[in-house]
Amino acid sequence: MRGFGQLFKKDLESISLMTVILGIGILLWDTYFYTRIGEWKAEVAIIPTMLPFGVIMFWLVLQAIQVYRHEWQTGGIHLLLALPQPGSKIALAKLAAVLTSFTLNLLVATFGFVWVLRAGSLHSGGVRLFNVAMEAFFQSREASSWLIKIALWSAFAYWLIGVGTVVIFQLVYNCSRLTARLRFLVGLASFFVIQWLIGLCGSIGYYVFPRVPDLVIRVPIDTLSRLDSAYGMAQAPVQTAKILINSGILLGNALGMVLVFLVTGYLLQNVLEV
Amino acid sequence: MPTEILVRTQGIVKRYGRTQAINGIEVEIPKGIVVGLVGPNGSGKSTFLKLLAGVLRPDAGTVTINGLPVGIKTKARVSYQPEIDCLYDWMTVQQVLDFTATLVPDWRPKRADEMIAFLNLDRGVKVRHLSKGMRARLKLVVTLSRDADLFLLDEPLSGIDPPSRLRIIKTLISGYEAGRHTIILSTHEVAETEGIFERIIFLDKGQIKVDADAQELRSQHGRSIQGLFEEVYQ
Amino acid sequence: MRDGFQVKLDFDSTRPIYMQIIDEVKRAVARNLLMPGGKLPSQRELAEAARVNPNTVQRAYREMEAMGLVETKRGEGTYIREDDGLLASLRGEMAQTAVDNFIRQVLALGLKEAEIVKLVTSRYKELQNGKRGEQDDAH
Repeated sequence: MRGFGQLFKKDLESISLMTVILGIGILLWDTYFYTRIGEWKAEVAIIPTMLPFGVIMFWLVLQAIQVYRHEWQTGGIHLLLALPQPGSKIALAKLAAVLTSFTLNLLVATFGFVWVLRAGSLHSGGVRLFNVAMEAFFQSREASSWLIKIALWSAFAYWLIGVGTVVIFQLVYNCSRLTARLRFLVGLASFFVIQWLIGLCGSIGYYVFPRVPDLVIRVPIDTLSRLDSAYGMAQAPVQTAKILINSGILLGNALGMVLVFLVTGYLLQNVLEV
Repeated sequence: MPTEILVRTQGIVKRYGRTQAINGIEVEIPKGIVVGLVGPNGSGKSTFLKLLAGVLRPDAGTVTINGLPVGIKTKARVSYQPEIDCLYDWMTVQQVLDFTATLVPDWRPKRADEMIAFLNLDRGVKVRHLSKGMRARLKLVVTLSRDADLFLLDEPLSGIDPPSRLRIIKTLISGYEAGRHTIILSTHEVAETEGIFERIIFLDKGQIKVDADAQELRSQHGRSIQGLFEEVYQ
Repeated sequence: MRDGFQVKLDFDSTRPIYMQIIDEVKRAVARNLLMPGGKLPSQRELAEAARVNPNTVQRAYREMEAMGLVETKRGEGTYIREDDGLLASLRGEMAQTAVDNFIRQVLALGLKEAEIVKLVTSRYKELQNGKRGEQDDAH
């Protein structure tokens, strides 16, 4: 992958300002609620610090588009399309750059959230979840380590949704570049078509991969009450409910995403123009 | 001398919406010569070069370079310089060179160094802080540091200060290896580059109006290409 | 580029560029701007200075070599040939061209041969006198 680093660096630079703006914005937002602890009820200060996770997703869409739009804005597209490089490599560098920015801001938001959560918990004394979770993290007690697990799994799922969002919107933007007029409508239409396609891939996956074992998520139904009432009882056996997720559909969706990415690369290499 | 055909176009057509930018161009360009692509604004010069560079795709017809259809393989042998500002303005001169050097297969660092020195470019300066003439010089370094078969230069002198023009022309001549390098240079002001053209293609409304040996044209008409150009288009 | 030797090209002329380059070299030799045995600029230097295609300069040098005006020493460069007859023949050739042009112009004005000869003789005397006068003034 000679030159990939240069492409990646260039793409990261093109959205660096956006990344920094969001990062600072999140920290300011969290800092404000941090200072409210003690004046407001802890929950009221903590809950708004979850908002950045939503904003990041919205920002991600803008960045996914900006990293391509930048090329037409600067005229760099003239050089980019004239380079003897496969479209998938160019697309991969752009995907990697946006995901790097996404991951960074995700870390910032998580840090801010944990920061305010911890301060709020310590201050109110009533919310022990945080301390319990931390303890579980280090001692891996069965009941409360579920909290950590579920947090990590949802973070991962959230990140995967981010990847999918970038992949989809980058193809949407490139599709909108295929016409000189009504770009927004073309983009919107392609968005729905792509969504439908990925759904279709999921359905196909359901039939094609019936033997892949389902994903099992165990939800300990009585954990929360135990944690709250009896700090030291977390080692007691825990009743769990099972949630099954069909892996075939997920696999189909994932392959659909790969296809969407490859189409983006194909457009860059064979169809798109300056 | 056996002439090897480098560029061949067959019936190429390119439209932008309802405007016909290129309207059926058939041309064969041998290896190792300098071609002047001449015509007024909007005659299709830029579009023609973009089709050869592969940044536009023809609506009809075919373009082959070294016998291959335009694609990654031909792009590896073609160095294209667009007319517009195409360098990322937040990069420094050095970053622009590093960027291009790793993404093309035929970068010549020594040649780049020579040109940077001759053209008085400062490696540490950001592109956005360069004057128009200096940006044009840098674009030329990026284009000519490659050891390509075909160099496509779109209006390299347009709107540039006279000292920069002079240096750009000298740089073009000094690096040119006759017989090996082919240059197609588009311009609407012929006077300054007249001496380097061996063949002239006049474009008008997306079609070839004249395609002839530069010397034969001058000898036939007793006029410079610049003079003929003014006569034809005014 | 050598002192004093500069190539001026006229793209409006029907005369091919490579021949104009040869003319310029001849003129420089006739006017002692380039001496027999003197070195010519390299082909690339001349191409850059005159802003012409290196192919064109190459052709001019090849022709000059063929006509015995210059010789190329491998690895060293191109030199004006050291040939006593060369200078005389170049001057003769250039004088003839100048006279030919003159005759064509005056014929176009309708002068007859005798008139031309008479005119040349009288003008020659007058110009020589004028020159001597200038020299006298200088003394």
